[in-house]
Amino acid sequence: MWSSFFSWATDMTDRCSTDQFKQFFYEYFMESGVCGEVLCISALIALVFTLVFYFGIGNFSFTLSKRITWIVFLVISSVTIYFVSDYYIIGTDGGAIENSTGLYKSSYTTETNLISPPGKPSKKGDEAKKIRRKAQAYRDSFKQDSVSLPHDMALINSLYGLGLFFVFSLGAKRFSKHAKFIPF
Amino acid sequence: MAKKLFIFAIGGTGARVLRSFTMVAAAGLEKFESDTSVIPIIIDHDRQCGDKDRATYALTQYYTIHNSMYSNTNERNGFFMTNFTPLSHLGVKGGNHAVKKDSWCLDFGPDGNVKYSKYLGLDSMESIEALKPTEGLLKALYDTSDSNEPTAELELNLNVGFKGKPNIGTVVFHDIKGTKEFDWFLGQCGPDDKVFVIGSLFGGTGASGIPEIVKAIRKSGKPAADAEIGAALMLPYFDLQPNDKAGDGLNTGAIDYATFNAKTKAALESYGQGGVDAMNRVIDSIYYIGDEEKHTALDYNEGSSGQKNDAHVAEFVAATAIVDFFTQERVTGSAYEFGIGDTTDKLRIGQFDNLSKQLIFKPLNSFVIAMRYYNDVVREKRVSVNHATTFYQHFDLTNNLNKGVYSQVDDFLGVASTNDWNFFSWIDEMARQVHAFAPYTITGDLYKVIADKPQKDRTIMGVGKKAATNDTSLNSRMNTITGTAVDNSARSFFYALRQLGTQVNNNLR
Repeated sequence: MWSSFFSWATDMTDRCSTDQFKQFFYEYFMESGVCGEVLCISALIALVFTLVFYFGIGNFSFTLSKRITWIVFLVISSVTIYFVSDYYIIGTDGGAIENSTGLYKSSYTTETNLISPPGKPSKKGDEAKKIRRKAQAYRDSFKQDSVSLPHDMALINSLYGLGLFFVFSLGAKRFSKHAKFIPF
Repeated sequence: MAKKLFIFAIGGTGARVLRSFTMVAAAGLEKFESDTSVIPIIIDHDRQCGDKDRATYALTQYYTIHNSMYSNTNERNGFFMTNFTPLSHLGVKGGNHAVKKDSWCLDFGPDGNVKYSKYLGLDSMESIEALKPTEGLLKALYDTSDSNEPTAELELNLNVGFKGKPNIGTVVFHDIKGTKEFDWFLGQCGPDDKVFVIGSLFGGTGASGIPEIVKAIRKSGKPAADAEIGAALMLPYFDLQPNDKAGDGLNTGAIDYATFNAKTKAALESYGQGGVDAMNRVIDSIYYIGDEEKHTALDYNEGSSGQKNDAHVAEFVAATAIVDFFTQERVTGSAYEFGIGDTTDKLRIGQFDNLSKQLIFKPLNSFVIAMRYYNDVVREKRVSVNHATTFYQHFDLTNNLNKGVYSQVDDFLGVASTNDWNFFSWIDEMARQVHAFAPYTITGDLYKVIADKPQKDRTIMGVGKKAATNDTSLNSRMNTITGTAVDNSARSFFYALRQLGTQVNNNLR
């Protein structure tokens, strides 16, 4: 469900259905819940920036309580969401499931599941090697930055962050002293 | 507490005191709430007197502001809350149109270029044998010089008043009893109301008008006769420059400031004569106000539009006498002389007594702080303000400034400086006198807005405690106050400004 927030503007659907690594893509981007998590991250960051602006600056600094400051917060919030989302989606490769995060961790899980499907006999020999090579190729494609999907998702997420910051602003502004009419 | 205060402002000095009182009342005085009617009645035979014009402009603008802000409401804590009412508006709804509508002035006596001899009917006496002795007596009593002579009396043209001749003014003022305006006043003034009379003793109009008006009230046989009467008797507080306008058809040199003290003494002496009917006995409270030191020598003008004297601290003190008189319980036979210990060049608030500080300066300081902030910051005459900030948006100042009450207040304050009677001019005029009264600064930043209490920021590199009168501190406080505003009307805006001024004034050390 959450993936639909991103699939409309990215090649996520294609990646999950026709790509050579479709199993890896599908399990991470469609099944793992990463889409919902990055949306939560977006909301959390937007909320923090909103609260800092309205409860901090908006109550304690007349000088900084201006539309331009709000715009700066909006932009910084959005940029922050972009980088945090991008980092969260991609994660880090620790060489094993327990040491990895993000899509790397997911790729190791998928790799394990492909080699040892639950309720079925494990694949061995060349078949297993082939799966391991494919998984490594999948991971390498991100390390070489040849797949833009995480960046695209982070970008879309930062745009959602803009909207969330705006919505949160409408709710929070009434509690501020100097910024009751910011953004309007 | 009486609900009506009638103020008879007589002559140019009376008008100037009334202007000062209007400015002080704008600050919103305690016990002068909007259910109290103040009825100013300016009496000056000089129909074009510049001082009278300035007082009436100030009153009219005040009246407009008050009605815009407080129509049909009872305000007890606002700027401009005192209800100044023209005499014609008293009594019946819609006013009495037999009395000059909406006028602050009580015009009486001869209109146009009428000489005193004609006013007395000297022409007709010549043709009536039986009146010849009277004519002769009058010619013996009065100077018969030509109207261009400084000593002219019978030939004096009354169109610009009495030119410092109370012996003529007394005769003319005797006729005030028959005017419909005075009758209307007597009908509206009850025994619980108060009447205050202001005039100078060293000129012509005030010295002659005060006793005649007081007598006319006391001997009216109406309820008004029992009203409490107070008077501010203005003793000399300015000099005149030599007459450099001789030959202009108006200034004959009839007024000699060297005679001011002698005329004052004569007036004071006459007020003490007459036994139980003596002026000093029929007036409940008399305030003697003058200035013995550092007189400003004003431009010589015998009247008309040229008589437009700068405001003086003595007039301010007389305005405070009105407040004192109205707020005190009736004490018959009281005489007050205004005294001040220190006579340094510039008088400050600190030299006034605690009662004046409480009754006058507390609201006035708040008003000045608020209006300086309004002028400098809100109206952006000195610094610009963020239009997105809370108070600016809440009161929709982008659209409302320059309109309605805001525009009227601008005019009253002199934000655009298009008039010479405004509030800021009034403060500036008092500060420019030789014996200056400079309690406030009206230019520059607001750190020294109250001259006695200069403020400064306690900050290092912009960090630390800003002064209460720092623009940013004021803006911040205004936003806080706006949070409690009941609505976004102009009335609420000026109420918020009053709160701002009061809070800041209370915080000044």
